[in-house]
Amino acid sequence: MSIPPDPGVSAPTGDPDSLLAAASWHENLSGFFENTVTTLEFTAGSLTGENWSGEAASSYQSLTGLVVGHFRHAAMTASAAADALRRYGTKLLQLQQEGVAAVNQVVHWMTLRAADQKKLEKAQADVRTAQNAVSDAQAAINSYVPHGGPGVVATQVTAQAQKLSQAQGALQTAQTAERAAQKAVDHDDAQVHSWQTKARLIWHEAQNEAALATGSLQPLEVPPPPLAGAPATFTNVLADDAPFLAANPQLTTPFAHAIAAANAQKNHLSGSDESNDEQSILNALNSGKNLNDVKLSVPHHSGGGLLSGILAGVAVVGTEIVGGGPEDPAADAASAAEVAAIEGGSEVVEAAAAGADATDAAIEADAAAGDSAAARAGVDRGDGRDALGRFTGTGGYGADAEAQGLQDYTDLTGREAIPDRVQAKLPDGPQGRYYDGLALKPDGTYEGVEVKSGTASRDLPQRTFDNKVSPSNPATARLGGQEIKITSVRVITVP
Amino acid sequence: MPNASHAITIDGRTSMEAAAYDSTVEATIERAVRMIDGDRHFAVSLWALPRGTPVDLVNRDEWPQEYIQAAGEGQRRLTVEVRRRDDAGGYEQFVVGRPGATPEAPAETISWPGGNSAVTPGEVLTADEVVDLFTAYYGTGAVPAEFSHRPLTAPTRQ
Repeated sequence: MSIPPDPGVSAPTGDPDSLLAAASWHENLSGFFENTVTTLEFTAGSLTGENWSGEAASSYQSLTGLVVGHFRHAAMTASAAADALRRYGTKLLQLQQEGVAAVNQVVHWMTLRAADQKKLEKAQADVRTAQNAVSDAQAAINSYVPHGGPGVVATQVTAQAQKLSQAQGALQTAQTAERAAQKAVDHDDAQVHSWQTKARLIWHEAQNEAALATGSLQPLEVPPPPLAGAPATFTNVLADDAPFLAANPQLTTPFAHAIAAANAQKNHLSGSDESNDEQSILNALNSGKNLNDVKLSVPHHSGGGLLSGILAGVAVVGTEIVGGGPEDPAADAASAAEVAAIEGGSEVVEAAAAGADATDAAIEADAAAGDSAAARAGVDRGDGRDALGRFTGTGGYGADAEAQGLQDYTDLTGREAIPDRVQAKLPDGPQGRYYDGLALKPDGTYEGVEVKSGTASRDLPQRTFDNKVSPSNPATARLGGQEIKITSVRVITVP
Repeated sequence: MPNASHAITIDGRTSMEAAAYDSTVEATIERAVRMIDGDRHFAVSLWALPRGTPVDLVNRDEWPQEYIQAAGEGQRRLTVEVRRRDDAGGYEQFVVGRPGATPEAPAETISWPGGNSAVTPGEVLTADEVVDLFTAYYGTGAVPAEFSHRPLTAPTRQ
């Protein structure tokens, strides 16, 4: 069994799938918070004036605003975390695959170099043998003492001359073989160096991305909704107001779930702890008990927040080049700064930024002879393709980007996209949403079509709204004086 | 919002999910390919979305790194290219040719508004052939091995 050579470099570590799953998780969390905001606002809006008035109603309205603000902030924060995680997960997935391929190449060329080195050593030994043979033949000629008749002497001289000539020929052959073997070893060395450099650049790029992700995530903190720690006046009013709870039983479960989830998230609690907490809160709400008296689960061990925990599991710490690779002080300085940033600390953002800058400089310097040109979608690099090789051209209708997108949707789906911007509403909330177009489907319902230009993407309320639209939960809108049902949503991106 | 595994880009410009719409995803892909007329539409590409990522959250400057794309002048003069990860740490992009096509220098030019590509006669494909290639790519992530592959020499690692 042969032991593979140490390549001296590593592929980026981490689990892109977990990052992408975490992104989806945060997206869902954000959607839940946003839904809760919608529910709270809807309920508050329905409990005014004739429905409910007095001191308790007033307290409820003002404190609902406080709760809504917290939930909304939490929703935006979770959404920002989801975006950062998704971006890093996607990038890490790409860099890992490239890094593994580069490390494999290093191993391949190191193995080849070892074989070629043996050939070189043999060629060098052959040269030494041939040199000795030449020396011996030369010495024999130098020490030759003629003896015998003229014919014999002539034969002996000729034989010695031939021997020297043969030895010189063999030496020449051996030297040629030695040069060829040396060239092969030099080529292998260059390949090893080249692939180690590429692997290192990929690794640094992954570090850079991790630092950027850390910089994006570190300032984020998903605050727990304020109920458990809210002013007693609020919870007292809430808990003591039987008409409110009786009128809004649908609020208790979301409340309980949100509080338990936030506490579990903040304190790294298990699913069973979270469930127990949720039930405790539900019991309190249903029995009219003050929420301030509900004891939630506490951490079983200390540790960082959820976001830092996610990153700690994927950071590229500990995968620095361990030897054999070409070194670059600038890159190493960047690496140290970024690793420090990834591991956390109070100067995280600054360190990450400094590390990222230094790494960028190192990468740019190293890649000057390389091929990591910046990609620009849709910009012709000179051969009818953009930086990623995608076809470019000038075809189209000359329409603006949004109209072009809607026309392309029509061409692809066979459904005419009507460019009417009408307000769509869901049954469970007062907030509406405008789509850029509507397309009639064969079943008589509509698809909302959203066109996003450039780097724009849907904001959180739009995504939350879209995720709720379905055949079983259609949004409604008025089109040409008629009420229509929107049962699906399609997003189109254009330059 | 439905979750699609792939997206379609039309004319290097408009991207949307490769969804079933009113039929099947394969039917949508076929419709996309048959849109190419060299005038209103000159190119179509098909690519995998990062898992669970809606199309508006994809950074088009960096994604997709791997895809299949077609461009051309009409339904009988199309070229197909595939970009994929190679074993050497980068990406390779190649022109797809008809099975059994003999290696030769590109002597044909497929043109479209603002672009063109030099191909061999065996690489001038029909819409039917391109539909088959795209459908296979959607199902397997690759084109059938019997089709010829001619590497492009343009830089492909980003």
